[in-house]
Amino acid sequence: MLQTIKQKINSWQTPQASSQELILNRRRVYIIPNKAGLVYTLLLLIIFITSINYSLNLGYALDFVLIACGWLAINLTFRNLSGTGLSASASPAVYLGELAHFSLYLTNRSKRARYALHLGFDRSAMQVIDIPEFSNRSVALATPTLQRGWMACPRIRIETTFPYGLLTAWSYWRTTQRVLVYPTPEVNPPALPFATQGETGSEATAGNDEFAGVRNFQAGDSLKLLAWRHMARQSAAGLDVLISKNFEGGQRRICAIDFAALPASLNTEQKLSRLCAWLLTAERTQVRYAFRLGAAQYEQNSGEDHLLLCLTALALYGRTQHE
Amino acid sequence: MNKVKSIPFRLRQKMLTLSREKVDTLFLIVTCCLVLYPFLEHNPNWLNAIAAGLILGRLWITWQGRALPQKWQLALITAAFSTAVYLHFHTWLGKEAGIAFLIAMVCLKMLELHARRDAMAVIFVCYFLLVGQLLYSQTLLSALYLLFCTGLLISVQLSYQYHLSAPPFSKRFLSGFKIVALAIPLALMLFLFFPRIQGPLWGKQQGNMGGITGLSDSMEPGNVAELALSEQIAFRVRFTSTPPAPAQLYWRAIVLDSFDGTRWTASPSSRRTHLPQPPQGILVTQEIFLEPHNQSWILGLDLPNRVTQYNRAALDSNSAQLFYLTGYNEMRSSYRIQDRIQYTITSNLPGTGTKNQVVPVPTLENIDDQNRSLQLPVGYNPRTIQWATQLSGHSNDPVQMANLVLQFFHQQPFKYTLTPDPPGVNQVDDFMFITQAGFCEHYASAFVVVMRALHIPARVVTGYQGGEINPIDGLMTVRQSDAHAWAEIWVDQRGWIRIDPTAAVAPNRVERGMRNAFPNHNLSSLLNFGPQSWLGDVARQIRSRWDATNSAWNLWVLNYSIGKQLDLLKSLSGIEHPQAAQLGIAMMVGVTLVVGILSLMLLGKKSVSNPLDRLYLRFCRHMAQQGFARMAHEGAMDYSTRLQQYFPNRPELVGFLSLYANCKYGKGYNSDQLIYLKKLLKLCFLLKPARSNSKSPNPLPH
Repeated sequence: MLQTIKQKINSWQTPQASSQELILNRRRVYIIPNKAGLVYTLLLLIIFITSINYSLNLGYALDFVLIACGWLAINLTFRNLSGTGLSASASPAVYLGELAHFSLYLTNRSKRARYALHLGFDRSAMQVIDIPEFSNRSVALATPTLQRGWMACPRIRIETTFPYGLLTAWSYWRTTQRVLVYPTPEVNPPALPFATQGETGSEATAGNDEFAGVRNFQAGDSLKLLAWRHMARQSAAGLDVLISKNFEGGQRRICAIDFAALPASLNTEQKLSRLCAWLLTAERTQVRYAFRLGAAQYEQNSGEDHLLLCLTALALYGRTQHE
Repeated sequence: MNKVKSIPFRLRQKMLTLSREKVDTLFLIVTCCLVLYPFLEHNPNWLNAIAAGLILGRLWITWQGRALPQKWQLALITAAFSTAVYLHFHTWLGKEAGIAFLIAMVCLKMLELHARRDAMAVIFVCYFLLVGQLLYSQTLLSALYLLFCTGLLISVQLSYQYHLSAPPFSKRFLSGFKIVALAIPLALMLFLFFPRIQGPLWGKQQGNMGGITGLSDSMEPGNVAELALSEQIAFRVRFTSTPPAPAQLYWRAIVLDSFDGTRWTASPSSRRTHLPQPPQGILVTQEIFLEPHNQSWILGLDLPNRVTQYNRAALDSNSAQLFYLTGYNEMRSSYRIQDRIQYTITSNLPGTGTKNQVVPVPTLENIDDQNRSLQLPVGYNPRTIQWATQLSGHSNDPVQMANLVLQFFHQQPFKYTLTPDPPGVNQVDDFMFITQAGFCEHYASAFVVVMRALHIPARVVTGYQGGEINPIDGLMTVRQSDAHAWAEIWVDQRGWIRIDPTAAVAPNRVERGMRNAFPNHNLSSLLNFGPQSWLGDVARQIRSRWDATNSAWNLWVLNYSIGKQLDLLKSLSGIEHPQAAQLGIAMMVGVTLVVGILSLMLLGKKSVSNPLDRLYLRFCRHMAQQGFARMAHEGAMDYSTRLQQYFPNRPELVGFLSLYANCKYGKGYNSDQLIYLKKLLKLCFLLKPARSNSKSPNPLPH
C-alpha cells in the first residue's frame, strides 16, 4: 500500500520522458490550494461562523456562493492547464558552463485562451506566457550545464493559478530532447601542437596529398574551401581577390591534436579542456589538424563538420552513448 | 483650446491612456467604495471622513502616478486609527468596532498595493465586509446589492490574475458576474439543504437591532403618534378563515395599568402566566409573521386564546415555555424578539358563534389587581377628577358611564390629530378642557383616568388596529402606522370590556383604518396620488407587489430555518419525520448533481477535439464516400496533390486543404479562418469526380 503510494508520488514528481507531444490531462495535472487559497478557506470558515452566531441566513447564502466560486475555481484553474499540448526541441550543443537551451512548444487547441502559464525548470525562475485560442507559443528555457556529455532536458514544471489565484494547478513533463555539452575550452591555452613536433612521415605525405587535391580548386591555403569557391564563381572580381589573398598567406600549418600527447600532470577534464581550446584555435586560425582521442582518430582536415566531430568526441569521451 | 473640451471628455481620454495596472487599481478602489457604501449611515462621521480621505488620496495617487506612502507613514496612520476606534467604541472588539477596523484595513491596505498579494488581501477583507453589511440589513434590495458587490469583487480578483495580455475591461468586468451566475446553482443546493445550526455560538448576539421602530413598553403622549408616520411593517397575518371586519381588527400587545401622571407603564405582576380564557364567541385562527421589535411580547387579535410557535417544537425542548398568555390576556414571550418569527394564535372574537356555551363568570382575581386598576397619581389632573365626580351621580352602570364620557368626546369639539399642542403638567386636564386635540393615546389615557376617578377599574391597552389585505399574496399587512391605544373597563359579570374612545371622535380610524383617517399625514401620501386616480391604483399595486415580494423574501429566505428545511425535505422525499442527518444526505445528493452537471459543462471533451480537426475529418469522410479515402501515411498536402488528379482545377479543394495545413501547422488560427474553412468545406461537399476517372471506384496512388 505504502509502496504503491510512494511509487505514485514518484511518478508524479518524475514522469517518464516522452519524445512525442504530450497533451496534459487529468492524469498529469495536479491541483492544490496555494497560500491565498488557504486564506480564502479560512475566510469562508469565519464567514460561516459569523453567520451561525448572528443567525444570518444571507450570511450563509453569501458563504455558499463563495464556496461555490471556490469550487468553480478548481475547475477553471484545472481547465486553464489541462489540454495544453507540450513538445520540445533542444538547441545546438554548448560548452560546459554555458546555459543549455531547450525550446518548448505549447499548443492550445481549445477555443479559450490560456492565460498566465508559468514554465520553467525551477520554481524560482519561471517564465510566464499566454496562449491565445487555437495557437502555439514557444518558450526558450535555459538551464546551466554541470558536466560534459549528453545533457537530458531537466524536468519541466508548468503551472498556473489563473483565473483565481487561489489554487495552483501544475504538471511535470520530461522530454527525451537532450543537448550535447562540450568541455569548457581552456583559457589561454599553449600554442597549437604542430606536425613538425609529431614527426611522422606518412602523416606528412597524407597531408601533402590532401593539399594537392585542394590546390585543384585553386583556393590556395584557405581552409574554408566551399565559401571561397562560391565567391569565386559568383564574380570575376571576387576571383581576383581570392587568388591574391591565397598567395599572400601562403604558409601551410599542419598540426595534430592528440590526447595522448598531453602532459600527464593534467587530469582528464583539463586535458579535454585544452584539446577543446586547441580545436577552436585551429579552426579560428584556419589550421588543418588531425585529432586523436581514444577511439576517435580523425585524419587531418578542417571545417565545421570536422570540428563538430572532434568536439563531439571530446564531449562524449569516457561517457556511454546513452547518457 | 483645451478649455473647449469638457471635463468628462478629458476624463475619458485619460482613462483610455491609463495602463492596465492602473485600470485594475481603479477598478479595485471603486469596488471597495461600493462595498463600503452601505456602512456610511451606520459609521460615526469621523470614520466616514477618514475613510473617504484615504480613498480619495489613493485615487489621486493612481491618477497622478505618485508613489505610495512609506511604511512608517502607514504605521502612524494605523496607530492613530486604532486609538480613535478605542476612544470611540471603548473596545476593539464587537460588531461596530470590528467593522470600523475592517474598513480601516481596507483603506490602508489600498495605500500599500505593491504586489498582487496586497490586492488579494484587500479583496478578502471586502468579502468579509459583505457579511458586515448583513448585520445591518438583510432586505431583498441589500441582498441584490450584496450579490452585485460579490460579482464585482470576483471580477477584480480575476482581473489581477492576468500577467501579460488580458481581455478588454468590459470582458474582465463581466467575468465575475458570469462566475457568480455559475456558482448560484451549487450555492442554492447548499442553502436549501445545509442543516442550519442554531446560533449564537457564544454570547447573546444583538443582530440588526439598530433603529427598530415599534411599540414601546410604556406610553407617553406622542409616542404612538410617532409611529403613525412609519410605513414599516409590524407584522403580517394569514387568516385561516375569512378575515374579521376592520372594526374588529384590534391587535393586542400589552396592558398598561400604572399611571404616574405622564407615563403609562405595565405592572410587573401582569407577567404572571394564566390559563387561557375558555373559547367563546367566534374563534379566529391567525398565522402571524412578526417582524423583530426587540420586545418580549407578541401580538394577536383581541382576545387571544391559544398560542403556538411555528414548528420548532422538535428542536427546542423548552419551546412550550417560550410564549405564554398572562392574566392580562397579553401574549408574552420569554425572550426578546430579535428575529422574524412565525406563530399561530387563536382568538375569541365577540360574536354569536358559541354563545350558548356556559361561560364561567369572570372575577377580578384579587384585591391587588382591583386596586391597581383604580390607582391614580395623587395631585394630578384635579379638574378631570372633579368633572368625573360630577358625572358619577348619573348612573351606577360602568357601561353607561363609559358612554357618557364617550358622548363628551363626541359632543365637544375634540379633534383627532397627530400633532397636538404639547400638554402641561396636568396632561389629562389640558387635553380634556383646553386643547381638546390629540391622538389615540391621549384619548385612551384620558378615558382611563376618568373611569378610575369614577371608581371603575380601567386600564390602557396598546397594540395595532386595522391592517390591509395585500391582494398579491392574500396576507394582511399591519404597519407601524396602525399602532393604536385603547381602553378596557371592568364590568362585573362580564369581565374586561374593550372601549375605544378614539372611535367616538374619529370613527373612520377604526372603521376604515389609519390611512383614511389621515389621508395627508401619512408618508405614503407621497405615493397615494389620491384614492381614485389610476396613478394611485398603480402606486398601490406596486406597493402591494413589493410588500408581497418582501414578505416572501422574509418567509423563505431570511426565516429559512431548520424547520423549513425539514418541511422541504418532507415534501420532496416523503419521509415522515426527517432528521438533520437526512438533510445532510439530501445536500450531498443535490451538490453531487450540480457539481456533476457543471463539471461536464466546464470540462467536457470540447477542449480536446478542436474544430479544425473536425472539419478535416468531415472532409476526409466525404472524400472517402466518393471513393478517395485518405491513406494513413498521407499528409494534407500529399492528399491534396492526389485528389487534384481526380478533381482537376477545383480551387475550393486546394484552398481547403492548403488553408487547413496552414492553420494546423502554422502559428495558429482564428475564428475567421475557421468560418472560411467551413465555407470551403461546403463547396467541397458538392464536388463530383471528373468523368474520365470516375470509373475507377477505389483509385490508388501511383
